[in-house]
Amino acid sequence: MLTKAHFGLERLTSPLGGGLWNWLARLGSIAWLSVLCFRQLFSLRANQLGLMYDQTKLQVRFTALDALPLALLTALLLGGITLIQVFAQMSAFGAETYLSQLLAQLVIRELGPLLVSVIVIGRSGTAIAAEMASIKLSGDVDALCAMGVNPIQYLLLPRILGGVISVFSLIIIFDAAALLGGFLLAWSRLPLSPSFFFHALGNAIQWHEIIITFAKATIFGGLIPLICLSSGLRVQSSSTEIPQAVTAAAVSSLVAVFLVGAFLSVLVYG
Amino acid sequence: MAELLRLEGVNLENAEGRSVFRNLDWSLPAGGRARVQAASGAGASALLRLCAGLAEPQQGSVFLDGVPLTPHAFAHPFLKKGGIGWVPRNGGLQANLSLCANVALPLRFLRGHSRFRAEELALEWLEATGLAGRAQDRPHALDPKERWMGALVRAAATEVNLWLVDQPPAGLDAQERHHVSRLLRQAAENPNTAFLIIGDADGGEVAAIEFCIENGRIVPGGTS
Repeated sequence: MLTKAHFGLERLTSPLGGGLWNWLARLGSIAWLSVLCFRQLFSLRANQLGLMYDQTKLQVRFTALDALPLALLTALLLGGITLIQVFAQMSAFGAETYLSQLLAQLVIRELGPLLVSVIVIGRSGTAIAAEMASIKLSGDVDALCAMGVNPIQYLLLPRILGGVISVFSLIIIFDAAALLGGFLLAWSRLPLSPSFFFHALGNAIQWHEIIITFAKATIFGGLIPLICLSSGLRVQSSSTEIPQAVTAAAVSSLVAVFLVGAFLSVLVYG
Repeated sequence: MAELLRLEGVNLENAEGRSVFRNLDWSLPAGGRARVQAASGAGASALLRLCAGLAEPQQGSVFLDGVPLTPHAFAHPFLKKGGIGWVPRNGGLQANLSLCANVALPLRFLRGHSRFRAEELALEWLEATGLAGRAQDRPHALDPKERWMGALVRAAATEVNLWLVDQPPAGLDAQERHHVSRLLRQAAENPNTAFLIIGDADGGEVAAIEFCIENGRIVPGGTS
């Protein structure tokens, strides 16, 4: 069994270093889990795909479909509020013509993927962590192992695939709703014609934007369930660990999404 | 007969560090029918967990069908083909599935049946055990005995080669006992099917060879 001594990391057991060691251990377990999932994905048999499909569909229902009203409301309000704020600033410089372009770039590049991720973490990521922790403690995971039902294939893969599909779909819907919210406000309250708004919007949305959004959707959609699954499965013996696992899942997922989002933005647009 | 299950020099400690088994050597041939009697806390459930690959011995090895068993080894050929019928005291049913879907799960995942066929088979088995009325209930709505019986039905429907059966959580009534005995007798008609039963879950009708756990060893003969 590998210990801190194997890596010459005994010094990290100091109060500050202990935290660093735990953080590295969590990172290691997430990386290891992703490798296991990737391997097990390719060892699925054709006759297991039906069961996988059913499980993934269920996950998409909980993560995407059930979150749709919240995502739509947030997106419509966000689009309107952003437009008001941007208009107030830009009209001072006589740059209203760039309004829809700026809105599209803000929403599609940054706000859409980030806010959808926050919604998914809050609604589904925490639920996944709590569910995993609870079924691990109740012996359900052990029962699967003993029966020969591979828990990585049955429990983990559908949640990760469902996460990717859900975040991907929600981002597209969220972006569209936010732009619609912006348009409705511009149309009703501001001196902007719809034809001008849409013309400028069309110019602002390039293939480049769409590809980056898809990349973010795939990465965030895979990362959130993976981190939450890993947090849930780290519980050992007591039900008091469940709320700790849920908190750790939410915090780690948020940090990961913000870090990866910032890294990608700097890499592509910086 | 060839050994189906072999424990070789196994030392096992529980979570508190108390020794449960010391240098344990024991085996069960294919088609073997063993009953283990043990006082509460003597290690009967730990023995089942060892045999299912759910507990890692501090020393020694467990062999299943001649292949070493490491904990949570998804690639073990005997486990991959669904050779074990796991019947723990709490049933080990998946909390988010109905009883019928729980019985159908290994039929779909391991035997490759379609959802419709697997649930059809599951219902037939549940009817034979008097549980058809609870088929659509989830485990939390079942009483502990029904959960345990659900796990028995799941193992029977999967037609496993090795039954690992813990005691039911409470005394079974006469009708439940009749259903359980009939289910286990039916499974025992296959001469290659092995049983490791804790206590007298089968009503003494299937497992003929008696063992007991004494001082961390499995010794022949019944007790308490």
